Amino acid sequence: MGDVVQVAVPWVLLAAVLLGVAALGVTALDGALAARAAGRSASVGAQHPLVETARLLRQRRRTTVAADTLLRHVAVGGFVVAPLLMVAVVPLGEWVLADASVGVVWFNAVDVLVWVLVWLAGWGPNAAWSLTGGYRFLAQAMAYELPLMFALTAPAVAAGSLRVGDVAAAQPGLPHVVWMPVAFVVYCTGVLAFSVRGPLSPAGGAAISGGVLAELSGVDRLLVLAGRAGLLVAGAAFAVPLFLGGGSGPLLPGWLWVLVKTALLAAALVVVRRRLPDVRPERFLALGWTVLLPAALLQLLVVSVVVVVRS
Amino acid sequence: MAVSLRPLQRVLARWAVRGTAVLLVEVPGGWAARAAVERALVERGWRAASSPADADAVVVCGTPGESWGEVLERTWEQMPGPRARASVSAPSEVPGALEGLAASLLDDDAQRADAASRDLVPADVENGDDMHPAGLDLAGGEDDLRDGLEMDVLRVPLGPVLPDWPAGLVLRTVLSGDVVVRARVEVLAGAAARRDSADDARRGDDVARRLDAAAQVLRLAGADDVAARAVHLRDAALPAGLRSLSPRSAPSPSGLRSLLTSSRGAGAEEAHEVRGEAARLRGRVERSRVLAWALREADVATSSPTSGAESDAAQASAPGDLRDVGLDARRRTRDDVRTLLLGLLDPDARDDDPGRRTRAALEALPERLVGVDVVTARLLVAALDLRTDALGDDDLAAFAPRDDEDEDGDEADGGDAHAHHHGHAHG
Repeated sequence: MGDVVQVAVPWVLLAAVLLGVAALGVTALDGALAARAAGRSASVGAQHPLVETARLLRQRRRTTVAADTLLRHVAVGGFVVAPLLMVAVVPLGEWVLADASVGVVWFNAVDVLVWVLVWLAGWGPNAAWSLTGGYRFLAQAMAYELPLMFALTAPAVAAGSLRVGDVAAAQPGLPHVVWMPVAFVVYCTGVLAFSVRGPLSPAGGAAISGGVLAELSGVDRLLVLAGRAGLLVAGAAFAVPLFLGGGSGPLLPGWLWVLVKTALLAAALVVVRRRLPDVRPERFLALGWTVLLPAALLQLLVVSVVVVVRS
Repeated sequence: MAVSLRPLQRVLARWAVRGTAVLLVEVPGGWAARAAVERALVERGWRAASSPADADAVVVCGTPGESWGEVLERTWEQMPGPRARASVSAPSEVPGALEGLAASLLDDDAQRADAASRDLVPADVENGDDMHPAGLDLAGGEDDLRDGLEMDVLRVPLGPVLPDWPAGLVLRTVLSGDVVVRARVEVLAGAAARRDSADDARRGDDVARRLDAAAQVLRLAGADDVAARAVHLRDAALPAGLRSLSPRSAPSPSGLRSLLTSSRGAGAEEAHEVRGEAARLRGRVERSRVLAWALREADVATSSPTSGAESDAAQASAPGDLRDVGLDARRRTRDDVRTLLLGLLDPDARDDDPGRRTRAALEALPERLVGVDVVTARLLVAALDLRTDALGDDDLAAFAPRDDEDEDGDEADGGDAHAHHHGHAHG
């Protein structure tokens, strides 16, 4: 174990580029699916991220009366930083930006940071729809965070380490997803919830006019949109060492397997999220505490028993 | 420097305009125009904007009456820019109007001049102090209806510029957190002279209008793909006179394209086919367990139908009962949204007097919304399929906007911090 090499800091630029390309990719897929549903050509819809980027680069930034400018900037900037912090501990084959001994906890800490970002984005503009988005996100964070935390624990317990590289190396031949599918599903639910888009993200949505996005324009909006696409990708990327066997696989080199697995999972999450209607926070709370949390705990129990028996 | 960047700016502008976000403002009587704009947006690859901050352009659909002046001006002020505006009162005007918007948005010099001419600070912002930032009152507190915790109380007008919202409807709400404490209904009317022609336009489009309302509910519920299907059917169900003028672009349910292009009118066969498709869509919505689950009310202790001191006293005496009442009310509201949605998708349902139905629904609305959260409120309002263009003059007088800014019967000294959030841009 521990065959992961920590690379020099400048490589963070490569990570940012990869993350950006993947974020464009998932947004393009989403645009293509939306265009097809509306009876239009999917290839035109796939250009959506580029067109939207051009539009927002050209648009002016806008503020509201008595806005909390500092907190608003923290939120907007934080949205692009958070996914980078997440992928920093994900090994790309044998290389990793930060080979932290508590990588799993680090990821968990960053996903809790998303609470702060969404709340500040809701609070900052001093406007009703944004604030409502913030309220609703916090309500639903209570539903997904604990199950997500226990879902993250299961692979770490199996590997006997919180180092992400160790967890990836602990599943030769048999990826964790095979024998801890419940934890995997709960984890993916958490990713859908913290990526601030789709059925499990009441912070936005048509019914509150975009919620935390309602008052953002121009570059501010672009950063938040990019950041939330990045969060989905980072969530998918972190599942690779945790559940999908990391870089292991036939023929291709490890780093390429990590990218392929990340892309496939991210695409699957996009498809799933399109098929579901918005789930209201109170509905999701009931699901989170009566189904997801017990299921995640049971999964953890099973994993722990297996680990004890095996040793 | 600026000169050398010109070609790049032009490329950027051209790409940007391909994805123009258009804020749709429907005035009573502008339904057909709004549907035509929506259709044209899809054809162009444009999209509807979710808020003024999200919008590059605003299109007023229908002919606004006098009461609209300030609303439209405020909306225009809130748009970040580059920005453009247009108004259409008939489907035939739509292609030209959208061309005009594109040209205006591409005109860098004019947009620059517009940006330079705007103040950085909204006109009516005053110098504030600690208790009145920017001259606004702070939000006041009031007990939350759900659990007795004190929440900020906000005065928030919902509408009339709100996507998937009845034309001209303004709900002056008092929100505690995201829960409606009080609400008052106002309707901003269309220009009186246009109302007769709107009557003409309404004939024979009932199925289309109900499909349109269903699409709005589905969009608000986040079921975008099902909503897209409903919009598709709506356009196929429109009487020929209300379709946009290019027959090539007239959408139709699958298998109907040939029928549509051969005869422009909504013939009997075609109407039959649309009804069949609508019934199938209804079945799809009815069978969807996910949708039913998402629309059903959760079992959390919720609101009571009373408010303020009254509710405190009542809660102290019989908290259990009140919560049951509130829970029941919310559950019923959610059930109603689903029932109403299924009713809208029922091609055989009849709506004989939309005017009277709308008036009754508007009168009952404030009471119905107390204790309901904003999302449920918007779903309910959409599902009620309120036809403000079918209201008579005396109805409109009953719901006329009032000058006084204060809420009726408002005993709390709640603030106004969020009611007027004008946007302004800085470059």
